[in-house]
Amino acid sequence: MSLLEVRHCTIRYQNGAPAVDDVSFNVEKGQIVSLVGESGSGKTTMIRAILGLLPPGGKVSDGEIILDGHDLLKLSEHEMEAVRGKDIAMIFQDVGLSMDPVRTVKNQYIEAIKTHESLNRKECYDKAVDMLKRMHLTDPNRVMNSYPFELSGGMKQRVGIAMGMTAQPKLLLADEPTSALDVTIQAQVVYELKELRDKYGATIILVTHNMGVASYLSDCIGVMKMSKMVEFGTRDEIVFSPRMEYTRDLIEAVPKMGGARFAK
Amino acid sequence: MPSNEIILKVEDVYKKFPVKKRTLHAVSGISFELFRGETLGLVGESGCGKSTLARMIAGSLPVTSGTITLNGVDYTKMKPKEFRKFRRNIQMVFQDPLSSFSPRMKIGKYICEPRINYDRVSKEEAMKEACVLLEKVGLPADFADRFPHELSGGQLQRVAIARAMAIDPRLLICDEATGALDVSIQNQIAKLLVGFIEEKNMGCLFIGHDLALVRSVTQRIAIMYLGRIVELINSEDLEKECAHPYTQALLGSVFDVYCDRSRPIALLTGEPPSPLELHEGCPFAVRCGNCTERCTREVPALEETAPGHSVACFNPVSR
Ligand SMILES: Nc1ncnc2c1ncn2[C@@H]1O[C@H](COP(=O)(O)OP(=O)(O)OP(=O)(O)O)[C@@H](O)[C@H]1O
Ligand SMILES: Nc1ncnc2c1ncn2[C@@H]1O[C@H](COP(=O)(O)OP(=O)(O)OP(=O)(O)O)[C@@H](O)[C@H]1O
Ligand SMILES: [Mg+2]
Ligand SMILES: [Mg+2]
Repeated sequence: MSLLEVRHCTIRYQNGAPAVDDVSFNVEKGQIVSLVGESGSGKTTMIRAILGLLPPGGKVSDGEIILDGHDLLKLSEHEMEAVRGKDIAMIFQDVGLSMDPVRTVKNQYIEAIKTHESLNRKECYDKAVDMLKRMHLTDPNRVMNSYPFELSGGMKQRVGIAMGMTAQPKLLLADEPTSALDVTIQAQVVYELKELRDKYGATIILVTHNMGVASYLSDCIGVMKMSKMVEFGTRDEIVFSPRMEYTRDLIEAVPKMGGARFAK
Repeated sequence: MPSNEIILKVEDVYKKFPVKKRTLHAVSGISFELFRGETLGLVGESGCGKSTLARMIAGSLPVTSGTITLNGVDYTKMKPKEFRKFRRNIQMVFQDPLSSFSPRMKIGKYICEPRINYDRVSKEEAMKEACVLLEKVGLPADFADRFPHELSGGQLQRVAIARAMAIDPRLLICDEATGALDVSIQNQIAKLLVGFIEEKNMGCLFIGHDLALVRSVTQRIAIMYLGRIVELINSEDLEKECAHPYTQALLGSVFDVYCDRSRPIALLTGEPPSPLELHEGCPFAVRCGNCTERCTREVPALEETAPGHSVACFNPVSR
């Protein structure tokens, strides 16, 4: 049985056309699956639905989202909250905004750990610092005592990744986790995501525009365009023998070091 | 084609933040010139001070010391009232777009605002222009009627770019302005930006992490590490001529689409130094394969090694 099955899922905002239209895919335990594709095609919407946290006005109008045999859409909000703490965690696309601007990282991080573990403040603090170090943040104590505005974009992103990983969820949803990182730190984070899977057996859904990262990490890749999943296949199928023209175009469009320059 | 007329001049600029009785050195003595019609790329480690530098150039963060001049006018010491008018000359696309939007302001109004405020264009006229701009960045014109939270990450980024294009600034600063776009749309936007800069003959500072992309839209690239520029190079030569070991590490860390997955990830070893306590010597020394005793004592200055190529390193990579 797959860890996650998304079956014929359709998601709408208010009255508009579907943001996700009849999308189905499976994720096996211990797999890393990437969702790539067009900006605005519904990738964030799809994984937020799995987490059960669609923005106001968003609703799954059709389909099933089955985790470990249970349809998440049938759970009460209360039951879903328990799933979120323990089984599913998410790293948000705009980490900065998912953080409270008037509270320090420390307070938010410790509170997050306390929702799923019975540790005292000191133990939580140490655990958090440990995770921040794994994300190669240089001054973890300074970071803990900072307000979000005192951190750079990539630093906030790494705090988000650390928080998402601390819970050691069965399923980690990562929305553009490396987009604000320079390539050397991106490599470190890719390494940590791989370790999380290889060592701790985590299952990961990664949303990314970085085709190189998707190609390196993924077992399977789903390609989205205009609310539809236009192609889903193994990493090799998608990278080396894509069937859809859109997938080919996407791989073709990746900027290359020796490639053409637009600036004269 | 860039001219030889200097439009922006940054001279020995520092930014220090007080952090609990200590000092955080975010930007430490940066100098460079930008020519009219030129796009300069700015890349470097997360937290090395790129956005801080950009915000000082945009005038939204005061410098600790140093001067910044646009067309010969030093605006770092201007009175707020005077600066409000001057500000029009510099437009910035921020790293996280949603934070620069007001949640209750519709997209159309957001794009129109600078035109109405600075140029006294009528609302109807400005809205017409906004719709044209939306289409230019690949979004339907009816997005004008949406609120920011109703857009995806990449859609918002394009709105921010459209707004910056609405008025003709002398200087455009893009702080990771295309990071949330898929690669095909990113290419379209890159072409659009390059065309816009050429047409208006302005200057542009382009901050990004995708080296191949930055190379494709710029004439020169400055590589930063811990608050300093460590290499300045013509974009064309980046791959073949780069000489700083950190630049090399950057180039070696990129994931290729057709990568061999059985190969271990190339990781830069050692911890990046803290901006809270600057040690003696080159900030990259502890992580550098070419490090010698001298590197741990002295900070190498940025020196020209060939026309258009400067490096701050005692033992640059030889070829
Ligand atoms: N709260 C909302 N209300 C109405 N429409 C929305 C809302 N959030 C997203 N949308 C729309 O739904 C579509 C899918 O958005 P989503 O954020 O899922 O895209 P995405 O694939 O994650 O894009 P990106 O790569 O740019 O982040 C977009 O057209 C967007 O404008
Ligand atoms: N208001 C502030 N108060 C204290 N420290 C700050 C403040 N703003 C930035 N910093 C610190 O200055 C340093 C440089 O941050 P900056 O945002 O300029 O980095 P960056 O190069 O843009 O990084 P990224 O690529 O991650 O966006 C970081 O260590 C950051 O924590
Ligand atoms: Mg998204
Ligand atoms: Mg930044």
